[in-house]
Amino acid sequence: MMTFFRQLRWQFLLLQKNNIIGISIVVTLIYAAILYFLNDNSQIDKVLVALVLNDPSVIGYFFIALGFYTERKHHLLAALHTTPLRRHIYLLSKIMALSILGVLCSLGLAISVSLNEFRFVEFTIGAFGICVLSILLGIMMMRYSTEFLKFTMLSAPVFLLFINLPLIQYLGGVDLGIVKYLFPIQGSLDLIDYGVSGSAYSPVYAYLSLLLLVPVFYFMAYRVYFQEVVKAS
Amino acid sequence: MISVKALGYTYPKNDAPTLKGLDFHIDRGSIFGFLGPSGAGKSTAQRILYKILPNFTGEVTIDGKPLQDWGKAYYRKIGVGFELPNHYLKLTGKENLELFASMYEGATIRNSQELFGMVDLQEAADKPVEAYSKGMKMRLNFIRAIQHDPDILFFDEPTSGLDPINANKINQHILDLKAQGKTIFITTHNMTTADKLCDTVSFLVDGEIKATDAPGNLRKTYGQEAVRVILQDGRTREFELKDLGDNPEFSSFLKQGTVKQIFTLDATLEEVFISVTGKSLQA
Repeated sequence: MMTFFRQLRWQFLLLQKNNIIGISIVVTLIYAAILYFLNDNSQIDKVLVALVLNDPSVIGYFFIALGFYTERKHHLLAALHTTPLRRHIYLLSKIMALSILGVLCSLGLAISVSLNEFRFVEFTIGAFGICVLSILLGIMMMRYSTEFLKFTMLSAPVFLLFINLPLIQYLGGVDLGIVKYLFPIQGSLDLIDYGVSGSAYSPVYAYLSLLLLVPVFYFMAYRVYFQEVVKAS
Repeated sequence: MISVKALGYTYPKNDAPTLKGLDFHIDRGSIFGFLGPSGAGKSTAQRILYKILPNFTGEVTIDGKPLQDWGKAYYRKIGVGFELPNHYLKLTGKENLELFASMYEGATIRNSQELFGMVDLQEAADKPVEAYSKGMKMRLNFIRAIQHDPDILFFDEPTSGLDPINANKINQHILDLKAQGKTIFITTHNMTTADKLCDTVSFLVDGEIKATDAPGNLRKTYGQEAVRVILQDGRTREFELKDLGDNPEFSSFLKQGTVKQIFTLDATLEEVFISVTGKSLQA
């Protein structure tokens, strides 16, 4: 466990040295300022959910890929994996560092809005779920691109399907009926919505979907990552 | 210590194998070198030995234990100096060493000040690696490979990108490591490095070993045991080394004019390589 925390600390240092923490804080502050001035709007909770869905997921999805492409470009993958550090620990520390950053940004957005009731636990778990799933999706998408620019171009339709379609459904733009439960982030979305507005949701579905999807996504992402390591070496 | 039998490897998207049944053995405390042009399969063989490339064929044993049976403990035993610099550019040199040291739980990590001093990087230890020259990054590669005091060291083109002074220093450090009992495997296409450092070299071409022996033996086998004398007026003659002192023709030739040059006709390692493989090391 100590090894994991030691690696987590290094991952935070890398995020800080690469200005990712700074960028995330600035973007969150901009969003928080917008939310602050929209505070009296009756739809503020919907705006908040929309921002929480996009901001931390973007942080995780793109920055995990940027990190790996940078490590690959600088020939670091082979060096990292000729050490006794287990690949799972390395990968998990990267995922956790970005997820914690994403959750903190989400909480930053939430506290900028004067909510009548804020359910911290559900909101945090929901935000964490979205961050983790987005990061793992980002790793999986690396299979289809060898460089970050191509990765970002490929990501537009994927992101639309993964984040924005459930969001449009949530905002009432489309009614997908029970199909919405097939979206990987639906459980997290329900938890965030409950956290900020107290809307009814199914805890069994929300928690079960996270408990099932996170390991499945992780397994798939790990396979892609392992192949990338071999390819990059 | 390292024993390789019939080692073969084909990259997933290739039809032709990159390695075609390599056999070699590296004794503890010795330096073994793979000499060959780019694309010969040198780095592939090393990558298999440091367990980055799975699915090889043949048999590789390390300290009598099959490579596949070694777990993470294997990485405490080995150190790898890569051909290209590979560091986190935003971190300082010292932070880079510390980050990698954090991955060796329970291992004794050498003092970083001492390591930076070894390669004349003490002044740069606290500077971001992005400010380093290629040579400085290569020296950082070297000390990172040895910081956990491994028994086996793999160096891929260890003097690549270094000026002659630093290249000599790195070569001397490699010889010092050998003197400490470390087993060292070098891949290079630099015959000077191989000649200076290696106890045994293998010539690798197109995934096959064409010859294996001590550099001195190879030069002797493929060279001529003779001297060439060149006089100031341009006249040149060669004489067998055997009984040279008693050779009246040699003595007489020396008296015929002023000697401009006199040298033995040993083959260089590169000449031996070309003679054995029919290919140049620079190919």
